[in-house]
Amino acid sequence: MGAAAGSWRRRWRNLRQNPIYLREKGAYGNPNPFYDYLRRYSPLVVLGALLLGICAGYVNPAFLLGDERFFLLWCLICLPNVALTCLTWIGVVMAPALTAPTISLELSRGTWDILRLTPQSATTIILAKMLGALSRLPIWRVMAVLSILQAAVLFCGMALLQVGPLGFLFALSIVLRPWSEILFAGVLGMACSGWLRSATLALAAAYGGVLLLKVVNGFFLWLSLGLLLEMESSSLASTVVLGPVLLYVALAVSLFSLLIRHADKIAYN
Amino acid sequence: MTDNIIEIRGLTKHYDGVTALEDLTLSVEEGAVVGFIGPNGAGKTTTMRILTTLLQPTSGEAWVVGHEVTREPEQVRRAVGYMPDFFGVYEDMKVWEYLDFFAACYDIPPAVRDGMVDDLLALVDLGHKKEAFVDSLSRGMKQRLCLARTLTHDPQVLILDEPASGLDPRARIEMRELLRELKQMGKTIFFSSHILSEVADVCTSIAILEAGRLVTYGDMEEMQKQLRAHRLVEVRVLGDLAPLQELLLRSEGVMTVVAGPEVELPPDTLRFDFAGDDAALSRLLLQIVEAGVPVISFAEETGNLEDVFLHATKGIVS
Repeated sequence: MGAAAGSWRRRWRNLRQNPIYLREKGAYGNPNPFYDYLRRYSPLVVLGALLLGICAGYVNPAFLLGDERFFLLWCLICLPNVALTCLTWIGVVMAPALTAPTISLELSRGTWDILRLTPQSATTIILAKMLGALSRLPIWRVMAVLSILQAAVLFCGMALLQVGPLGFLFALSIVLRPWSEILFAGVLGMACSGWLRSATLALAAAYGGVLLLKVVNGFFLWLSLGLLLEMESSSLASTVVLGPVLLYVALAVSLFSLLIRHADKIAYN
Repeated sequence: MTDNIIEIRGLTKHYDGVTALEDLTLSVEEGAVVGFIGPNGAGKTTTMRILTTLLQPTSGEAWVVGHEVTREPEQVRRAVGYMPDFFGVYEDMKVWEYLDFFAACYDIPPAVRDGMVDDLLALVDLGHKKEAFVDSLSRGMKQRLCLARTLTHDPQVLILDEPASGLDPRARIEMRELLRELKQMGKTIFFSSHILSEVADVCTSIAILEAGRLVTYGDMEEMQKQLRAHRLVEVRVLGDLAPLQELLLRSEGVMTVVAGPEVELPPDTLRFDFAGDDAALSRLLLQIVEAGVPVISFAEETGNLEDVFLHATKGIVS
């Protein structure tokens, strides 16, 4: 167990010193011309995300119950959820813009083959590019802190309510949802980048995919599915929350595997 | 396995039913400079891409520095420096950053990289552009930078696809000088070019490819001789040409003798067509001297690479 953890730590350390990772982070030149553009307009993205986050954020029970005595407490408890929803929106908007040009720009510039000629494996190149590009997102630390707060609130709540393992699964799904959405958006951008030679097209395709899944992989789809399968109310609640997370993670992993398999075939002529 | 630095056996590549390369077999010795020539679509780039592990052959095998290209791609990549025909550069990087980045990709430690980047820039005469952005370099400079990039990991073999294409005459000469320097450094160079004079100036062997097949391959001088049905020899003498002409017409192996302004030769020079090996030619010269002909010069015309190319490719085209 310890050896495996050590091996992963070593791999992670190696990846963080990898020149391709460093280039995507901005240590060697400016690999992503969209990045400056994105940063210039990021206040708009943040404002939009705040609005959408507040609108789409988890409903504050105080509003539903009409009990004003615990209004402030509920607000504090729900704050991580609302903030995480805002950050998820920022993430899903910015992640494809960071990953979509990574391979397509190399292809259009004619540098992909030169990069493939180095002893770096296709998996390392793609992983380094994706993680390097996503590391430019300035939300990770805040998200981590908020997720820990959210997890603490949810797990304590579930323990107090004594809802059993399904309740914990429910809580875990809520905590993982923002991460899975951003991961999916980033991997989708990367996959589009591998298949499309134009960075702009790759970006448009990635946004299309993100939006489509945002609409399709929502509450109603999983609720309908649960009702169709005549699930109990507790299972139904967990399915509605866990389903989208599983779908996002499954799609991200599948797309990434396909991209790795496809990497050797990507060439500019 | 083999002692040759590049060994290709029966290499074939089909693209969607089209044969780009058919049963190519050749070997390159260490330190050789091989000029790979042929018309467009002959299969030169396909061969180079297979040798650099960027393309999988349909059949056949190839070894570079003892490593099979499909089974040991990582070792091949460490042994080869490749400059593609259409190459891109990271224009957003500074010149030194570009080389440092690729050196890091080849796992060269940071402590070694600084000095190495300076050395490489000096070699390709770009030391004064170290802090400039790649974007600001001329085409010739970018080509030299790309060549420097192929040298970052000190490869034994350089595979260069049209290294001088698109360059102005001055940049072409500079590139040629650079290739000569690399040859002196002991690198094995395998390069393709459309500019035949450039190949002739630098290479030790040539391989001519047409329609995916190897038409001819070997030492350049030898090949020029072999490709000629007869050897052309020019003799310059002091005084009258008539005695020499008579002697030659009586000699074994001499086919025709020409002289005079109609064949654009000076009045003291004649040219004869000779079918024979080096020993026979040497005996003929001895015979002329013993006959008392005052010979000033006796030289064989080797012809140029254009002749060799046209001669070699003519059959298949027609």
